[in-house]
Amino acid sequence: MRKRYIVSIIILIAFLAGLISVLLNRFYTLDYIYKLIIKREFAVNPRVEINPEREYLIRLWHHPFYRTIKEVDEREFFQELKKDIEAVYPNIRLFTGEVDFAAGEEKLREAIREGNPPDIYFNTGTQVFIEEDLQIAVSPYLDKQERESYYTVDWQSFGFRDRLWGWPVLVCRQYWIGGKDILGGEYRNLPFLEQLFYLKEDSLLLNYYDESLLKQLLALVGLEKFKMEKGELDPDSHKALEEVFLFLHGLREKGVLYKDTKALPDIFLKKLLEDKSVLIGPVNPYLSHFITERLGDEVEFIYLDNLVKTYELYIFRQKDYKGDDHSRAVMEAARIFSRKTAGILAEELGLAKAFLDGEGERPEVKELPVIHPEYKDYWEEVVWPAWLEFWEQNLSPAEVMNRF
Amino acid sequence: MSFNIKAILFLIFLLSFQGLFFSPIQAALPCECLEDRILTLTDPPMAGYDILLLQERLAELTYYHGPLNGIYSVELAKAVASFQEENQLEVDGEVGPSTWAALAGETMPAAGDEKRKGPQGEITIEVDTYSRVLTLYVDGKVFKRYPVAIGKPSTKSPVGEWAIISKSKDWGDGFGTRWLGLNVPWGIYGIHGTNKSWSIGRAESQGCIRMYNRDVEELYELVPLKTRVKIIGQRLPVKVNRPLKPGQMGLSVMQLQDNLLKIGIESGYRDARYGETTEAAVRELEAQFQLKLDGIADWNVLYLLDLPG
Repeated sequence: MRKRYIVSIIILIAFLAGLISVLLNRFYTLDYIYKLIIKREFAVNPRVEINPEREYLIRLWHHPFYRTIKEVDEREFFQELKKDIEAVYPNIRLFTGEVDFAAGEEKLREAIREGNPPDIYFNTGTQVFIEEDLQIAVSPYLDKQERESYYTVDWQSFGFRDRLWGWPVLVCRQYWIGGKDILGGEYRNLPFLEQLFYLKEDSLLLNYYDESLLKQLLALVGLEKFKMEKGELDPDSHKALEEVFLFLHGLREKGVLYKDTKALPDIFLKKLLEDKSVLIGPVNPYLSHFITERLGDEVEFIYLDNLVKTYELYIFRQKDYKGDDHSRAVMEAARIFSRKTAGILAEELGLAKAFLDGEGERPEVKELPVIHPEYKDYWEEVVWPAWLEFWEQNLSPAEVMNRF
Repeated sequence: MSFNIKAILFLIFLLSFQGLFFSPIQAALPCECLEDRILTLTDPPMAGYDILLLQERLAELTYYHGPLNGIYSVELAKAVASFQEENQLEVDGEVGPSTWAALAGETMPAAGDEKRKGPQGEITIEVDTYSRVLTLYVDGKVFKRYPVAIGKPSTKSPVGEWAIISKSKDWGDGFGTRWLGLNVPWGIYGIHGTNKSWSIGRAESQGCIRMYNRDVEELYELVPLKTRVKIIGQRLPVKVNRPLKPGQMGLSVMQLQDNLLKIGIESGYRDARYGETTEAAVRELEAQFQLKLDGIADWNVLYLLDLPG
């Protein structure tokens, strides 16, 4: 009797706990409760809905991504975005501002320091931005079904602190550009890195000042995440760096790499335009557009296996917090940008949408490694200078690995 | 005889290469608004551009009906004498400062009848070589307009954005009563007065901006040193076949500034100087294309801006 009584109480408690958690989950996420109650830190509740009675003013910063691509400026595109947003949320008003490619990041950092960053930063440049205090993770706003449609994200092990910090918008397959048939047909089925050994002498011109070159090579030798352990490179990152330097040294020994390495970053484009029998890389969408405008069918794209880079929207809050409903409105605007309006940009910039419409097959892709904030100093102060020294001072793989 | 033919052929050969060896900077002539010489009947006759101006002016005033060929002929000397006689000048058939002044006096318009106060605010000058008008702006608003003479087609006024770097009341007779020097890096150019005031409204100078003396005197008082002077007009594109670095000056740099602006990158004043703002503009292009971020217009930058020829 007593035993049955205890079992009933346990069942009742379990039922109540389940009921409470279902009810709580409807209004709060576990993560939110944990951060707010246990960790006692700032948290954004992603369950809060937009208030239809309130007007939301959202600021978005972007680069001049149409420059050198279209005659018109970006206003035309953002008018479309505004229309798309207002069609669903008439109470959301979007204001856009342009920042330079060169000075944009510093301007954003300054705005963050002042506690007043834009709600959305559309990054079509290079830097992956994570600023823990004021940046809002986007993953809590994506349900399981929607997550599957963002095919570049590895949802099994994604992001910094297990959160996705940028809303994926556009995907750029990674490629280099060379003269027609620069790589003979017989080698085209080999993995990308192996193909390079069959290039002619002096015909590979790599812009080693473009950081994506190192990231591309690290990904191609199999590195998924650049990591450190106790202030030193973790074994996988160490091994990947060594492999990259050995590979480049192999190309150097074979004479495939352009010999005047110091001049390389200044002349690689000139060489391609004047002598089409060379291969240059990396090539970003702006450079690709310029080259294809100039050379058309005389060049071809050499894809780096299945590597991709994703352009994202970074979402921020302000120090003077505007409320969870404002954050929700910002996320909804970002969602519309990513799922709908980005299609226009994808076509005009020669990219793909990050969101898969419909039931299309999920492409197998691999993202370039992201340097997370805790490793950024080491990357900038040790890895990057060593990389440049390898090129400019013609270091051997052993010499350069000693730097780490 | 055969030596002469060879010599001529050699000379033609040399001349044909002249264009290759002259850089755009060398090819641009500095303003040479020299002091007036005394024009008179000589044997052989005097010739020159100033005589052509004299012929045109006397033809306008219906004293001269001969060819406009820049030669001081007997017919021209007679026309000068007639003009001098009718204007109570010494009739000697020679053209000196007093005759030039009288020739000018016929068309000297009033520069501004109303007395205006000196402007308060940021002063800038714009010279439109199409309409041949100099406009003085105060805080972006038109304060006053003046007619000017600009450079001849062969010695065009320097199109660009300059600054007044010198002021003088005694620059020489050929420059009228005032001189405002511009910081054009490839020659000595300025805004100045003139004794040939009928040339105002025409493309007659060696590149300088000429004004009526009374106008330039007024302008002289209104504008301080460092005033920005924008000269609008047509400029032949220059091909750039060498990398450019901060600190350089010249037409190649100005073309770099032009082409940066064409694709929407502001490089500050188009003053043919590779300064900080031009360097920042180049860095912006480099950042967009993920090139080496050094602010130097290397070959990649030159090609991206369509500069090499």
